[in-house]
Amino acid sequence: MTLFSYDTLSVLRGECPVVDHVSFKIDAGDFIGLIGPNGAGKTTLMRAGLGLLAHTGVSTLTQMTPQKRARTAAWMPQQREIAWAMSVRDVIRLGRLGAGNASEDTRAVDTAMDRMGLTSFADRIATHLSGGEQARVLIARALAQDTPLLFADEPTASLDPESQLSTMDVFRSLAADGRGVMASIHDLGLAARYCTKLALMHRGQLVAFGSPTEVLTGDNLRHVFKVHAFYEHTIDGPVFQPLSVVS
Amino acid sequence: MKLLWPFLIVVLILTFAASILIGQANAPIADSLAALMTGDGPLGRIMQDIRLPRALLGVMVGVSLGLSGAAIQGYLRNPLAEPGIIGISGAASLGAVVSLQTGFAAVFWLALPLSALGSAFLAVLIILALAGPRGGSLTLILAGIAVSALAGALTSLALNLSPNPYATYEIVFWMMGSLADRSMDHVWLALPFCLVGWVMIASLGPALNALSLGEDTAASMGINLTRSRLILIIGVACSVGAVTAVSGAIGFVGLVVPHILRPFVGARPSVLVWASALGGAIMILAADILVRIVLPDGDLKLGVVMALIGAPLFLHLIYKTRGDLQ
Repeated sequence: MTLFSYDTLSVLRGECPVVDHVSFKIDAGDFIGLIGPNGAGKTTLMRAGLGLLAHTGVSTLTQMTPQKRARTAAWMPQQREIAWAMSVRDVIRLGRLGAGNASEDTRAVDTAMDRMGLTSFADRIATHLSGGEQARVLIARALAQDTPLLFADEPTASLDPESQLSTMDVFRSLAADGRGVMASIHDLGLAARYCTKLALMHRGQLVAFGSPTEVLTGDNLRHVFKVHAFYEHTIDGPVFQPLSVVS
Repeated sequence: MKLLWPFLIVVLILTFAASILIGQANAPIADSLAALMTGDGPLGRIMQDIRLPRALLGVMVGVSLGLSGAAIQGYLRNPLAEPGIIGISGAASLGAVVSLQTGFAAVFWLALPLSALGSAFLAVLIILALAGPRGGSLTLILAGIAVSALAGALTSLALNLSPNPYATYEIVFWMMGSLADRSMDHVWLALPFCLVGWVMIASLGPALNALSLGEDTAASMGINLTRSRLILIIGVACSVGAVTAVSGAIGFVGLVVPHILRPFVGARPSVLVWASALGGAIMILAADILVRIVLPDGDLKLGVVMALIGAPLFLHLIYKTRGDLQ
């Protein structure tokens, strides 16, 4: 079942296309890793898809009312902003804005805290936590919105290895539950291990879309990322490691 | 935390009662209350025509400044913001000063507050034109600073060109801010604007909460940022413009009160807005009582006392919370 689709979506900055005629869709069960070098248009693609940027072409989300959209897709931007010294529970509860009844809200907040391993942090002041812990609080906030779609911009950046793996686990299990997840990821090793599909962006265009094996080809890596890499399916699952810069 | 609301409400009732009962005409409490109800005799006149409007205006000024201060801090996600930052109080002041300087204020009793209100709304139009319909919070701050600077410069010009020392004296004293010698007419003039402003600002609770996580996240949660900003600016302009028009510019309330109360409401902006409304009213009433006790025969200005209380309080708060501020 298709949860979301882009159809020839473009975003212009001045005359220059930052996202150039991108089309693909997210099905239930997909955990899509949005990859590409810096400035490839990953963040712009997600923000435009959520209706946060002016664009041409179609994103199915922007055809909805803002309220319907908020019940369909949750968004975790790269800027991790928690303005006030609120408790972790109160921050996560912000995800329930305008949502169901009180008991449903409490259940969604508790589930989100549990998924992100934050239950023991519930009454701590969010702004007193470390950067990585705050990131986990904000992921939990997005989970509490309890939407069929989740968009996250570099959710694993600045997390320690354990939190990176457990966050990817959470996203993979959300997808396995029949939701759709799309996250921009710079760590291709994590992307190769956890994502069901990868979308490779280069200079605003979608240059490859498919399973990690289909996308992380030697050609694409040389051409887009300018690196040589080790990529093998081992007994411990797929292992990806960039090795050297293409000269 | 749970005791905060009963505490604020009880203290507000006590300060309101004290504001009505304390003054130059030193009458017993029972007589004063009886006179307030009946309005008979000289004491009745004092209670109904002087003390009651003064206390009511104190509540209106305090609620407007506290509510607006908390809402603006929440919207801008900046604990240093205050209602004056978007230029409304400066512009309202300018309108009043110009009406004093040109003698228009003497034409009829409503001339001064109406000039102040008119100029506050002119400022709103300028701010909206400058900041545009889609600009972010930084554009709003910059537009506010520009309008404030312009209003300040024009106020100085009015003082500079004032026809005689008496006019200068009158302008300077008006600008210090006071609740003395106001009538029920002032209350009726400001009240509708205040009520409209309060309702508009109070409706922003969910938007302010969502904005704690930044504009992008708030927008993705279904908050219409353009609409919220319009409601905020017009709400602040109505309430702060109206109270500045009748009382003059009174600073620090909108800055300090949300600061003091934030820890007691778990820092949630939607709750802080209401707590600050009550806290602002308490602070203004208390300061206005102090004005009457410290210099019963003189004419100590509320705005001056407020700044004398507010600035050290603010310094203390910065000292206490400097670890939390980035």
